[in-house]
Amino acid sequence: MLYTEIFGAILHYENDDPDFAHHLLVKIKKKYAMLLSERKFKRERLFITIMEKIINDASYLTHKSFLADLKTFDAFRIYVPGDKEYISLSAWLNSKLHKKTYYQLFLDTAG
Amino acid sequence: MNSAIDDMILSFSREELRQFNYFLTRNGNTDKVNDIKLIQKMRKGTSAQLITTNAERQIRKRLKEQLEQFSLLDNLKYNVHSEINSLLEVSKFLFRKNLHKHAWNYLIKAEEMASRNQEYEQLDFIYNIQISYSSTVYIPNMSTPEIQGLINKRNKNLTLAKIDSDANAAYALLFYEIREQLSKDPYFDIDVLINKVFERFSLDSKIYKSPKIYARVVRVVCMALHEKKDYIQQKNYAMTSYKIMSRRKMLDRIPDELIMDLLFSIYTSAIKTKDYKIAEEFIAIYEKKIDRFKMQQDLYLNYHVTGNINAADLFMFTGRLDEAKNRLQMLYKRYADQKQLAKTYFLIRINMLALYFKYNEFSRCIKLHNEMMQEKKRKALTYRRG
Repeated sequence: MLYTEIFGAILHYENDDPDFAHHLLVKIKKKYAMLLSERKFKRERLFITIMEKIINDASYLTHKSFLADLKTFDAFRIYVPGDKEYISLSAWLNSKLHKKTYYQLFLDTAG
Repeated sequence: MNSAIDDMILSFSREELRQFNYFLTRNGNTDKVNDIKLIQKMRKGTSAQLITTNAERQIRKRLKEQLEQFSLLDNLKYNVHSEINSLLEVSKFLFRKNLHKHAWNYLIKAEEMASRNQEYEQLDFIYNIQISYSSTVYIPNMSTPEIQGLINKRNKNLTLAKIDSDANAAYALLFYEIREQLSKDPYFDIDVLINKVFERFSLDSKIYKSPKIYARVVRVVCMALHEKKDYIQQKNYAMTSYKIMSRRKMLDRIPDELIMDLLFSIYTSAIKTKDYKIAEEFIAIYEKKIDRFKMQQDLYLNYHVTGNINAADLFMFTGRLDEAKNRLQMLYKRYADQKQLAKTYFLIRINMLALYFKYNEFSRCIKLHNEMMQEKKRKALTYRRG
């Protein structure tokens, strides 16, 4: 369910509603506080932090720290096609970095 | 927690619900209207009181009996075990009525069916009835050598039953041994371990001779490797086994479910290791076989949905979005509102969401997402209400 709710935040952000996306992220953090504090969910925790930064700071996407955060995020787990990550979080973040469509980056990740 | 009646009603497909409604109307059941009202209430998960609590309790009690009888009849359609049992029940009835000739016909029919489906325990029961009734004067053409033949058949069946039961124990042990070995050394020799486990039950010589045992061993190994996420080894092992089975012409002698599981194991591990060519080849074989096999409706639905979802996944990974869309839309239309497929339906929708996201159709994604979240919320409320 955590993933499904994170997808919700991504969808609203992409649908030009960053405020609601931010509201959803706050809700997720609160609802899954216990889960997100666990070590095995550090990847998801980092994703939420990155997304909050994207929403709150317009210059973050062009900043070096985004690249650094993305590298850390990608290092957590290699993408395996057919996993439960129906929307690849890594491909989505990379699409923001390379300014390409999500699907182009998804094909690079899955191919 | 829901009661057994609620869960049974929720597990019905539209077709089963229709059949159950017909079943309720049999013998001029006058309370049918209230029964159907209650069923609709359960299916919707609403709290609207259509009837008083006391009346509801009475209807539930009656529904429980009806459901139990309905499940017996439904089992007869798909479950061989029940079908054999029903033949035995009829034969017992006929023996009681002194209609021995007809009773024997039923017994022989049951024996054939049990033997064909390797139901050894039932077969033993049938032979015991045959032996006990062989002393009656009404037996058609039964002589002493025939009775001896019957006893021999029974003894042979007992040996087979023991092999079957030992093999079941060996599969369970094998699964846990592989699990343990994988945690110690991921590159250990699986075949050596299989032989070691089956040797304990004196079955090591039977593994490669019996197609059914071999197929089940392969299934256990693939399951253990999948659990450990060793997809490369899983793919190689499953493919090699499939080739061996095909070369030795075993495929026709293996139960349908085991073949489907093997094919499923090959193409899912191929997708996970990004070997899309192999995945496509085996999904095609899987889809060709699925309609040819005669299997239980629920099982068919599961195989059908998972096959199509995986095919859609494969299309997405290889840049064929339109083909993926066609597949998922077909599933979405076909399985909408099928309560017994709630989990699978969730899978269909989340895959559609991922698909529309690739098309950048975000408002459609949000609509689907809201639908899914509302369903989750409604379900949580229904369960809380108990």
